[in-house]
Amino acid sequence: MHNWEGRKSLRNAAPLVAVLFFFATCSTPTGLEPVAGVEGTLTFQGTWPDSIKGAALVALSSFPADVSQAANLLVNYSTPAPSGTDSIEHFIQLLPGTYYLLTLGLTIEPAVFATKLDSFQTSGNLPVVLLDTDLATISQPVTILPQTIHPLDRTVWF
Amino acid sequence: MVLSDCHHSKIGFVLSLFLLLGSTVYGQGKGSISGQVVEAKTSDPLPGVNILVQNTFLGTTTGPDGYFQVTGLSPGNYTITVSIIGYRRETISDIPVVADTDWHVLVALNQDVLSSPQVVVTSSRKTQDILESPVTVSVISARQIQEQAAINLVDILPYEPGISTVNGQLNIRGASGYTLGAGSRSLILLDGIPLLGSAAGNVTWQIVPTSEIEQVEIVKAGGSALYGSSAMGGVVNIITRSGTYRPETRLRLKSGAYSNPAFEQWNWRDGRGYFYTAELSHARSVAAHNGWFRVQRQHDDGYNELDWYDAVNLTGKVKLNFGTHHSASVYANFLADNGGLSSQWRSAAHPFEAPVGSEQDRIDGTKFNLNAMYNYIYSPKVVLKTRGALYQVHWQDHGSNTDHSSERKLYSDYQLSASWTERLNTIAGLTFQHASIDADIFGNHNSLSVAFYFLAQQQLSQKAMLSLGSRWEQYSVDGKFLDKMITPQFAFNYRPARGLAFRTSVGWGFRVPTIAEMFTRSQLSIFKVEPNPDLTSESSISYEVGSTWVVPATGKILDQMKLDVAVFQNDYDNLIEPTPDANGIIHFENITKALVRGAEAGVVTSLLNQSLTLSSSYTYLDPVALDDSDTVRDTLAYRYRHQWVSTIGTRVYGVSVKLEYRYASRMEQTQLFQEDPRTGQDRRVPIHVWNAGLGYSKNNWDFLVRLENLLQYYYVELERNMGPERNLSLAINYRF
Repeated sequence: MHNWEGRKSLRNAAPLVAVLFFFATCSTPTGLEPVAGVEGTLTFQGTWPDSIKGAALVALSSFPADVSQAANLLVNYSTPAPSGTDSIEHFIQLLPGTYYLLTLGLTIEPAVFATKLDSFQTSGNLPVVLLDTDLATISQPVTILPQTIHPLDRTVWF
Repeated sequence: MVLSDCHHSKIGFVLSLFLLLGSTVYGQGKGSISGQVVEAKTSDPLPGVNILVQNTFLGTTTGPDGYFQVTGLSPGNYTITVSIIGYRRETISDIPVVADTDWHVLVALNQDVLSSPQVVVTSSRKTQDILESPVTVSVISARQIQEQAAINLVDILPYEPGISTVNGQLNIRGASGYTLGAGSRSLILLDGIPLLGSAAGNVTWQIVPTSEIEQVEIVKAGGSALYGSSAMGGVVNIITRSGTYRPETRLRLKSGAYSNPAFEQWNWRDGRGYFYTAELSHARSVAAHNGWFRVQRQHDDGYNELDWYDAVNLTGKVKLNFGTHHSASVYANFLADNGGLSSQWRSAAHPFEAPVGSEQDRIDGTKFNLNAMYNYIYSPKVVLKTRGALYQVHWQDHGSNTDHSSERKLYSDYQLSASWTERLNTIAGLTFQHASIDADIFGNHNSLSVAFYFLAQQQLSQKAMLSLGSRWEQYSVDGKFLDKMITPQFAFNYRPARGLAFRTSVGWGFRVPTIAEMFTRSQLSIFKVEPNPDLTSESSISYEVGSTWVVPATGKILDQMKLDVAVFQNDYDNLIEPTPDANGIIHFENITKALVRGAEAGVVTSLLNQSLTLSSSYTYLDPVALDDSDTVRDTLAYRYRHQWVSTIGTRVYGVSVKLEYRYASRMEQTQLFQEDPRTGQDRRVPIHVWNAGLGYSKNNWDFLVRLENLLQYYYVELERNMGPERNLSLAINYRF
């Protein structure tokens, strides 16, 4: 009786072992992994002009001659800060590569900018103005490495 | 079927008696069935066993000594079913009841701890064999819940075929998608009474007493004929257990810890996050009445910064039996909770952290749910069921938002069931629901719905049954008429052989807009959400063809196998979706015409004297949005095209091992943030989740160690909200 029970338990366990072996030999799928990008704080000094409804840090694929004509260079942008903000944390997710990072003022409401961005990019024009004044800094490209966050703080003086 | 004048006059007489709630009237010449139910191996009497007399509304449960008696039976041949969770159901046919005579039976039940329940009550608003159900019903047993040591029911629902969730919002066969928590296209019932909140129309899963559930029935075919608004995408009926005849006290503890993120960059706290749930419950009977009471304390550090949660939950149920013909029950639940409040992560670089400035955001509140039911069996052929409920919700936001809401919902339902002949049953009912809301975010509003429903089930032969039903419902908001709907349902069930059933159905459904969808005024990131009081009801037509085949034991290896297949199509019109306008302002609007087609197939089997169990199911969905000319416009958001769930488990000498796997294909469409291949932003991946459990049971003790998301796989269901982190827990259950 005892031997029979032992054989029974072995027989019961066999399919489970087979299934476990099958699972163990399957390759483990890859889920989400750490991303790359730029992170830091945007600080605004002075009084926001009435014409500026918001501001965002943008990543461009090359340095533009005129930011309002830079729609086709726009790779990504941070969540816009509404007018009147003193400081805001920013994050721009990017693939590894080299980018130019500029702080732009939005001349339309941030929500409208986000909603209509596709049509702006089709037309090639962006309703923005350049807020950075240190051209030497912003004309230097930033290199983004895989799974690495590049720290970047910017201050805008109105 | 033409009814005789005799039938009409009898029903009129019955209705007048119901108004008086008079005592039972039984003439002479009736017989009865009595007997004892015992455990097959030990011959010990089994208390609390359900006895149902088929083709009547009569039934009872066995007492402490296993004895039962059903009286008031007209002379004739009867069939009774004898069932209790954990034992194989027995059916005893051709019991010859003679006038003024008691027929005695002895029933021995065999243990069947692994099989799924075979009796359901939701699909036809009456007790019936699952093979006789006119639409697809999936059942989760109390044992399945225990084996997964679930605290929140919603955590185990995605392991059922055709079910998915997005941020706690239920999706049956792709009906719901995600509606920002406002409006549910799946109706949640607790003991047959709606459990959806009156403002947002959503369910608070924490109020469900998961450990006190007898079974959960999921009606997957959409249609509002029996249950009204929100049932257009299916119904989940959570059936709570009754008290035990022998006093029983249960102590349950579950405690565990979350792993730290697999990637150093994502680490966000010193040490680990822990969680525990402690429960104490007591059940007993007093004379013919029984009940249970449970107190639960829950604490969870959460797997992300704003996922922490604290709660105290008091729940109780009393079932009163006044003879064979009157019974009543009262259920009450009070939940006080406090938890973090987050709409999305800080950033993809910090997916487990709260957005800067909202680290202190939290919500606290109370919820109170009181359900009362009264059943009056006027005769073996006529029964009145009345249900009433009060559901009160208060919540208050703290931190960057300070919204509050107070909601109260009153519900009542009067259902008359009649068995006209052995082959024709009807159910008719009236439902009233009134809700009032006072909230910063929605304003002050009230709503009223009045509905009448009807269902007739005609046995065409021993093997075939036709169901015809419909519902008329009128809905008003703030005293103004909003909409009225008529939603019929037709279904046909055919059982050509023992254990084999085919079913087909078509049902019309609707969902009235919630107060939240009509009146929300809020800010969501940079977007404003503004009211749209002109919303009208969504509507649907659902078609289904399915089959269930229960394969009996063959030889020494296969104990039992159950196969289930279904194909379905749901046409939706006027779906309410949050839609941004050109100015970036979001309104809920009736916009989407949609079509969801799909198929599901599942198999459950037990082998080798129930020591090995296997289950596997696959669901395919083709969810598309259509334009006015019925041309495919897009894929519907928040649906998975492919879903696969498999489990394997073994139980030998009290030791159980279980492995679960859940797969969902990459979500093809979302609404809030779109995947950007140029930046990798808002990347979506398929879901691969593995869980493992190791349990041991001895005498009155149960131990279960579970490792969930054991491969530490990272995914999002809702944009910018990371799925649950790997966690290890130990659950201990002690009964005395």
